[in-house]
Amino acid sequence: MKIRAKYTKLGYLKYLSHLDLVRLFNRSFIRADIPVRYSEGFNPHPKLSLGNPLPLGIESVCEYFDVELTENIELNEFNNRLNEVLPKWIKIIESKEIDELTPSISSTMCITEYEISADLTNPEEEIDYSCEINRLLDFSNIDIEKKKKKGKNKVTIKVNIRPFILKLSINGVYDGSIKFKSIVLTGEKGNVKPSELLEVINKNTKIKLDLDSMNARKIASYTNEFEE
Amino acid sequence: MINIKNLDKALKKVEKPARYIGLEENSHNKDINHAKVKFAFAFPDVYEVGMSHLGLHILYNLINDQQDFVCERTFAPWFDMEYQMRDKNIELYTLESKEEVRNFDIVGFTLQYELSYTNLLNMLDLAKIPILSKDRDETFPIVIAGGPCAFNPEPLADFIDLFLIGEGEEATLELLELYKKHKEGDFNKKEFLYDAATKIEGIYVPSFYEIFYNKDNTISKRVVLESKVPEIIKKRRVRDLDKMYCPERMLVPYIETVHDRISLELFRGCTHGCRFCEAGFIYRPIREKSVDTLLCQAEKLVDSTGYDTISLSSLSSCDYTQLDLLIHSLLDKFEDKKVGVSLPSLRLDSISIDILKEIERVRKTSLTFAPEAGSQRLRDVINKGVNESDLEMAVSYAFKEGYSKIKLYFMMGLPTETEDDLIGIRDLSYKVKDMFFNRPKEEKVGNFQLTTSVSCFVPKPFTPFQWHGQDSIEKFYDKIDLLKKTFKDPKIKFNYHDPRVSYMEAIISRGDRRISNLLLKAWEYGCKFDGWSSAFNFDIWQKAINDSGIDPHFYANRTRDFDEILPWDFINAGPTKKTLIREYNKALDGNITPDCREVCNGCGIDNCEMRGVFN
Repeated sequence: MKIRAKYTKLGYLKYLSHLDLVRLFNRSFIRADIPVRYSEGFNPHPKLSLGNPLPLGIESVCEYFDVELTENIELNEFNNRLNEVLPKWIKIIESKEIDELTPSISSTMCITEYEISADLTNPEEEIDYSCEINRLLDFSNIDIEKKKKKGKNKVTIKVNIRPFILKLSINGVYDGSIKFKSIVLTGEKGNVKPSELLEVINKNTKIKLDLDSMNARKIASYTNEFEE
Repeated sequence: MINIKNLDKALKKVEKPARYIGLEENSHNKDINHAKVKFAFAFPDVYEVGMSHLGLHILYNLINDQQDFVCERTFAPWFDMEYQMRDKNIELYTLESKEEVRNFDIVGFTLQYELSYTNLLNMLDLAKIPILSKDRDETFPIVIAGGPCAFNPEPLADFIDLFLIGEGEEATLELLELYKKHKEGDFNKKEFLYDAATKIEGIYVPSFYEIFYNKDNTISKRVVLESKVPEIIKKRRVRDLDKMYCPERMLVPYIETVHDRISLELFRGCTHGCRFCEAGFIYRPIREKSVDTLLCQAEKLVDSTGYDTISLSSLSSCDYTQLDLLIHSLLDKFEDKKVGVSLPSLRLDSISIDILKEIERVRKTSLTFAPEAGSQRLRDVINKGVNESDLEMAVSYAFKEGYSKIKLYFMMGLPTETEDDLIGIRDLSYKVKDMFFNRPKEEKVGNFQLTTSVSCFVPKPFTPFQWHGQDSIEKFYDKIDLLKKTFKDPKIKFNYHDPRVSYMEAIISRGDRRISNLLLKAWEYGCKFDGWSSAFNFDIWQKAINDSGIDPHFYANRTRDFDEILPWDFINAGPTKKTLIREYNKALDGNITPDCREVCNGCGIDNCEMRGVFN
């Protein structure tokens, strides 16, 4: 049987890398006695696949993994047994059975909704924040510099991320800090990180943010069919 | 507690931020405000190195299992994190409560390697704790240290208030109990240290002693400054390992560490008596755990960690008396859970490889052997009880089993070494290569690669070679050049250690109290993580040597007289000085001493647990 599970990644555990997560789940399967299917070959490893890596330092309430089991198990039991051994910041929220034909998480869940907050460095200035954001969204080109590997070398290329920003809005301003909500592409077709959103706001609007103070949380994942 | 918002900002800017967050499986979250004694376990290297150290897991659980005590961990932050911490005014903190180390009662460093001493100083500085012991009053924690390098505590005498010599399982709790009593009254640092030094065996308080020197820089005498403080410090050792505290849990790091598996300690000590090996002398005598004890401990550890590998970790694990029974019982027990067993070190015999073949779920392609010296004569000098036919047998067996990558470890600069012995390293390497290619064509599987690694010998305290002068850096480079020229085969890779690193190790490991000043200068000039080749900076060390006025040759390259008072002579590590002298003389004559499982060689340990067990 194949299971797709939705889980959280909160608190300091937002600093776990993709690989650390894989290792955590593998240990948890052993401790929770989950009958995981192992790959064949010299170095068998559990048939587990995670979605696209979440940038380090960002929380999430909607991460996913797929895992194959050698025998059937009640979904509730799967959740409960795993949650008993998982740290409290990483918990299974729900899980469902999927079949062999279900496309992988990384190929479908390519649209992400973030909540992002950051401290303003110019809170005293009178600014129409929403107006500034709308002005930014009116740009047809918002270029950022991304580092890419080209063979052995790292090169910097310019990428226009405007088409990848599906939604960006102010969610509140108080106590010198500002909250945004944004829906962006996060996949092969385009990828925007929360830190990049703040960078382009800083660069192109009157809103000035302390980038180091950013807090971001992934609150929803959508499939390709998403339409505003 | 440190400013959490600042910590969050710092963590976003560093590599591997999970090094600095704690919260691992089996970590404790006791309320430190309710603890009667707060102990900060400090490891003077990065998280991944420290978390691979078994002693940490033992002491951490031992202390936290006591109601009145709490133990939290702190490690040396890597360069990027240190920069962030200093930039954002974050003091050194413990991973569990994110509490400043300065607010703990006791900070305990473990000393695993001499080149981590600058990290120790740097950590005190990051904790805003004065570095010199004499500058710390009752408002600061008591700073203590233990571990293998504490057997020569003198180089750190100016910094550490109290050393614990030997195995810490029993003495640590005695010390914390004593601290608790003192804290209940009007705490006075000196009174506490005095009580510890006079009431607990194995405790050394440097400030209660004064050292006098001769004109030639050697020690003329040690004077005890307080009454009843012992002249000789006897190392602590646990007598019955089956009854010894053993944790049922191990902390499970989120990030990959050096040893990502369960460490099952089979025994302490080693019976081979290799004359260069400090651990072989200071951890005597050998004391084994029973198979029953080990199976029980392994089960609890597997359940509590979810690790899929149990590593049998001891000084020479293949020596375990009931190794076969243990391994088969472990494999049977955990077959369903797909938990495997691994052996970190191999003896040079086919039995070891046989076992290895049976237990390794993931076939390793490479095997490592340590003949240590290139000729039989020199192997006899160092009492490494293997001969060339052992190696031949082991290697041909390994090839037959399909291993095609072999690593050989040697040392250069061993006492009595000649050019012939060095050429022997080359000859032995070529012999291994020929053995691979001289087999029938159909048996030659895999891509043959031999790596020959040569390190520079560092004479260590409490070994028969503690009097021996280390080769100079130039001499080491000459020997390296000689070897380099003889290795011309692309199938053989020749590696060597940096002689300058070994030189610093030699200066510090056999240092006296005057080395404190060198360490302080080196740290002030920016030395840290000296054990990391990416960070080691010899130019700075040389400047520190010059400015601190010590004579490096005196410490590293000078051969001592037997009647000289050595800086660590006041510590009783087990084997007597007479034994070490006898062993040194035998070494120079090329005579071997048998394994003490075969016959008691009378090394002088009192109440040796070995007597009547093996012989």
